[in-house]
Amino acid sequence: MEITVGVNRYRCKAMQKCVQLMPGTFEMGAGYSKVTRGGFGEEDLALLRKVVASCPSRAISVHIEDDDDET
Amino acid sequence: MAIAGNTDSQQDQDEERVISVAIGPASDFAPGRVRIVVLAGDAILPADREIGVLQGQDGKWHAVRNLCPHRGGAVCRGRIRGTMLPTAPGSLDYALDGKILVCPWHQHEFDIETGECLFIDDRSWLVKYPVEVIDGEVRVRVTALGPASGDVSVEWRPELSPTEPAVQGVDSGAYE
Repeated sequence: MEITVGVNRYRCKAMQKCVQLMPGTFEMGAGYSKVTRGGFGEEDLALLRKVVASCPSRAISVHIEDDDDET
Repeated sequence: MAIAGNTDSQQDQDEERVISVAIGPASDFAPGRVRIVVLAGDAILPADREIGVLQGQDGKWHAVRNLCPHRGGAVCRGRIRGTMLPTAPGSLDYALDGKILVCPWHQHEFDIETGECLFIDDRSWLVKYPVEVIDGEVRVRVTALGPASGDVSVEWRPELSPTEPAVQGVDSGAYE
């Protein structure tokens, strides 16, 4: 399973809910949030779902590619 | 599969750069009063389009995004004042006068120097922009995305009078 997390800089309003929920994963850049790491696993999904749901500007995207899809 | 999919691959590739925008003459700013400016231009991020600019009583300049990280209120329509410091029971200590920006929506307090929220249960910061005064003109540096293009226009929002409520229908003065 490959998980890709992104922040849409045009949507982000820097409400910082993602930084509060996952401080090691998101940090504030120049006026908007940035993803600071990769290597997401299944254990991150619950918190990532919470981050996506709590973002007031719907700026965060999480794409999950199952290994089965690639065959 | 996507939990949410709002990124645009083209937008992800847009290059980030810093531009300096002339806001207006420094003499038009009264110390301790926030003036809100609206920036318009293709390169300006939507969230950066409303910025509050002020000169503190100590002469330092500040520029703040007009958006409270608590619930998205127009924080720059709030008052500049001080705050009550933590003290022993029975004593009151009002301090930092002129250094605290108070959001008119829920009275969240922010240190204008650092942008930090003073409430310990809300670890958030106002977005601040570098300000400089060159030849008497106030300039704010903002991040721009996408190809370098056209001018950025600046429009000033009307200033609130000291007695005017910051939120329609709510007299925030009652809390001060």
